[in-house]
Amino acid sequence: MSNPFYLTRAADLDDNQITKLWVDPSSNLMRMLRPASRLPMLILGGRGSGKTHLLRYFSYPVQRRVYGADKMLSHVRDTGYLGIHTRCMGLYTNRFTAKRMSESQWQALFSFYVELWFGQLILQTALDFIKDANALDSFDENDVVRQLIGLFDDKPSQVIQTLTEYSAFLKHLQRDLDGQVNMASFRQPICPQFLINSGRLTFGIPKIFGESIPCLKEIQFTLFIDEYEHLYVEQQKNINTLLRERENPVSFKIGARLHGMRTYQTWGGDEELKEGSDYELLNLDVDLRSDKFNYQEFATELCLARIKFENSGWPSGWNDQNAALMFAKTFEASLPVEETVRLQLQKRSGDSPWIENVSSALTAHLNVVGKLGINNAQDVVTILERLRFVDNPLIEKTSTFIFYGAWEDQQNLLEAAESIQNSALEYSLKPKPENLHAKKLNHFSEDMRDQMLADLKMDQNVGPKGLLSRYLGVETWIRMSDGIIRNFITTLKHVYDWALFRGEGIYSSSAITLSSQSQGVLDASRWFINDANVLESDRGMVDASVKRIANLLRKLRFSEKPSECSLCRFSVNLNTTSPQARRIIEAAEMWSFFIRDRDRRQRNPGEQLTVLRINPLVAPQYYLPVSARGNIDLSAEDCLAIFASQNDADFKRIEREKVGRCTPPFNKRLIDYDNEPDLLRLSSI
Amino acid sequence: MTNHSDKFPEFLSLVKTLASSAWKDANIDAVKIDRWLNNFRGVVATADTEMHHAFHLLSQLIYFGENEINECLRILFQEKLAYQFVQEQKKNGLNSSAIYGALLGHLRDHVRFVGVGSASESGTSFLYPFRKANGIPTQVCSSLEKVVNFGMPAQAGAAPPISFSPSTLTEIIYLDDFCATGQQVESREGAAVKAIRASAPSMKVHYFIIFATNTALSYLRSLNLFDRVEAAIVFDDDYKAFSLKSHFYRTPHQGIDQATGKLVMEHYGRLVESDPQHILGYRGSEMLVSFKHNTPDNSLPTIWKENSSLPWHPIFRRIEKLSFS
Repeated sequence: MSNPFYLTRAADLDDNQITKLWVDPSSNLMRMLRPASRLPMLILGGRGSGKTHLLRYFSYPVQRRVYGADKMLSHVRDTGYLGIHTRCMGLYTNRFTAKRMSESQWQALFSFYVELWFGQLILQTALDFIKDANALDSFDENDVVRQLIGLFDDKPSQVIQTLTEYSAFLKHLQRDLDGQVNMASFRQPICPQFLINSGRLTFGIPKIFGESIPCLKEIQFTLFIDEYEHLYVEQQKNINTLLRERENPVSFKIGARLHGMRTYQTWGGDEELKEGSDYELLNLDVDLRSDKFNYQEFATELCLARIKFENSGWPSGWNDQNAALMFAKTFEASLPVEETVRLQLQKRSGDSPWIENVSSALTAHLNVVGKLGINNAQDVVTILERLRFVDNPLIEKTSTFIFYGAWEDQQNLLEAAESIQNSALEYSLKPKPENLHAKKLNHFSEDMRDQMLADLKMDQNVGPKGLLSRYLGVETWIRMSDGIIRNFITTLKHVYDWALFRGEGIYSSSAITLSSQSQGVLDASRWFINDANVLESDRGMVDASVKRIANLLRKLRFSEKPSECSLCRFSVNLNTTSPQARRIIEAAEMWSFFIRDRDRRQRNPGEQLTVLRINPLVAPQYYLPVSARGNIDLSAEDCLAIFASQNDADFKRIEREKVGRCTPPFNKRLIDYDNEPDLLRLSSI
Repeated sequence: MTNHSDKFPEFLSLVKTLASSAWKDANIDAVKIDRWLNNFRGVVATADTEMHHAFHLLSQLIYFGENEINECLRILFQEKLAYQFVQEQKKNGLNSSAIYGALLGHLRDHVRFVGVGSASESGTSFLYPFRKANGIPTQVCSSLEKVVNFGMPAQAGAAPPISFSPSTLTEIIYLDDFCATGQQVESREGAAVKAIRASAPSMKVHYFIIFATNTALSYLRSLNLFDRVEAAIVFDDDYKAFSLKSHFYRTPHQGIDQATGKLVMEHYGRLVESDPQHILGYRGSEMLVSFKHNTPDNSLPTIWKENSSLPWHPIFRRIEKLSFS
């Protein structure tokens, strides 16, 4: 048996795989891309969001596989476009720089190179279509070639009479230029045989074809330009200019990473591309996460397509009707957290750890809680009696949480404990909405469950029965992928790797064990962090920043009195943040360590905050929630300490202040971390 | 069966990575690992301690798959033979294609590679991949019987007359896969090599090994049996599991120590290996090596020895030689 999720990057798939692994349950992706639309489109998305798969699928070679060569004439007429895909990486753009030549010389050469590159692609795709349409005899080839030659200012010396010869001519010019550019460090000056203006071939060839070849009349040539982030600023300006000065019948769909658009400027004076008039924007992963797109259905269908492709059909016992269900059942289910907790508590003697923690906190701070009605050890005993709820650990844990809240609010603690006791009893019988426990559990139930596991020391070393169990199962992984489909596929890849290594039958019910799932999730999380190709100069700082903010959120989340539930977001004012901190935040966002939320909370009127959350795929390493709700505000000083400070001392101070407010005795006393044991002995990146 | 390997996640993760990469040809999976760990029942220490130490040693094993062995065969030919010839020819002012032609001609007319042992043994079995990896003409790899013809001596005690095929032969190169002590090749081929030297003193006889210990190289060179003794990969004392210099214990994980590891391997080595001098590998080699084609008996027997009566389930099973007595 082999791993159906082994290949994770669309760039590594061949055309057959692109075709067979395409999933678009409600034709939403076709509607989003609109390949025949005249207005160019920028498609921005995080790494693995599906840009390449999307652009390649709608390109001519793949569409031909989908519909069949003999159907392409009618298909192209129906859809109205011819899709031409190219990757910017193929241009090897780093050649066009330095080597003792001026920027303007490189600009001219690159512009010409792009014309040759696009020209060949357009020509080849059109030729393929003409052949598929059996339309080779439907036009005067000599006349078309004569017009194409006319696109050059100087007539070539060789005789060119056919489209094939013209294509070979362009290829020859490209190879000549390749050779000269590659040798530019050793041999100068570079002197290409020809130079033409930007756009002559890109727009000229399609225009001539549209006017001269019947099957291409009124057909749009859509250039899918992928991996735009590989171009330097000046090179992007070149293609931005083509976008802005676009001529029918050509349009563009440009795919780029988040922050992959290094510039919106063009060569036309100081003109910039304007959204709405020069291009429309598709934020792919944002849209995939939105309500209008059924991401869960999409992700599931994609998995099933992979399984069917890898096995050349359904596994034994699977069919079109039951495949989704069979797939979900493949994974062993975790025990509910409460059941795990009960089993652990049965092995202990004495109180649960959260009751013991209350006892320790009160005893350690008797001098402080004296003002709150606690005068002696007997009072502590009374409080513990009132907080205990042995029959239901979750209620008991919540009682301690509410108690810490009362402590923070400086209430009389004996009276508070009595109220909590009554509330617990009422909640266990028939909770009303205004019940204390009901209100807390409405928001903090997941946090309480995770805190119980943490209090019982059920961290990573325990394996899949503890905190890691919160990150298992297909539905959870779909949520963790957060619109980035590659993250989901990669998680499955690692899970299946472990399952195959363990000899588990990957297509049988409950076959993929919790152990394989948990180890796979951790491997996927580590992969995600290591895969980011952050600039070397920023790498250390980005890593440190992600670690700091994730650890801070974790400590707040597992403190006695977290202020917000499901805490994994933070908000910053990017306008007041230092440039260095802002650069690191944006680098972390570019590599999807942080995901920008739509919310833009206003702390003060007129203040715009940017809300970011930790990527859910990073969550398992820090036991952060997968679903984002809670948020902490970071001041400019906080941002400096977390994202820009080279030494940890500044961050530690900020961390102590913030966590101190959520920890008994809930004042600004700084916690001495060197001497206080962490609740969780966790490994971190 | 209990998933013992789950108790040692640090080793499990490492071995899983090895299994999918460097050990790919060995088809190791968690089932085999657990079956092997299950051998350790908690006699000299707790079962978990024994398994922990065994797993640590397993994670240190060096495996040579097909790609690695082919690369070693290229090293053996190119670095130990071809480059010297090429350097000499360059002094004569020849260009690259002429040198290549001269090399092929030299091999065809003057050099023969032969295997150690019989046709069915591992040393001989490497002649084909050696030839393929280096693009050597077929006739250059042969057997000793085809290359050397011993006649009857004219009188008792005299050296037998000898003829070679081709008659222009000047170098015979023995090819072998693994040499840990040097004694096996001495016992197998020593008489033939001495006979060749006695009858044709000008003939060069070399011994090329893919993998050898420095002990074996020193020993064989001291014998003056061969003109040259060369190896592609040399193992020194760092590769003896329980030597003072052993690099398997330089930065061990918490809870791992060499003394306990040795205690465990000695105890179970005694169970699986009847000859006491081999309980830590042939003549105390203490190696942790395996190859795609087999595991040498120089490796710890707990790794490779199969014993159905115990039972003992090896992880890198050795295919033992059978012979008719």
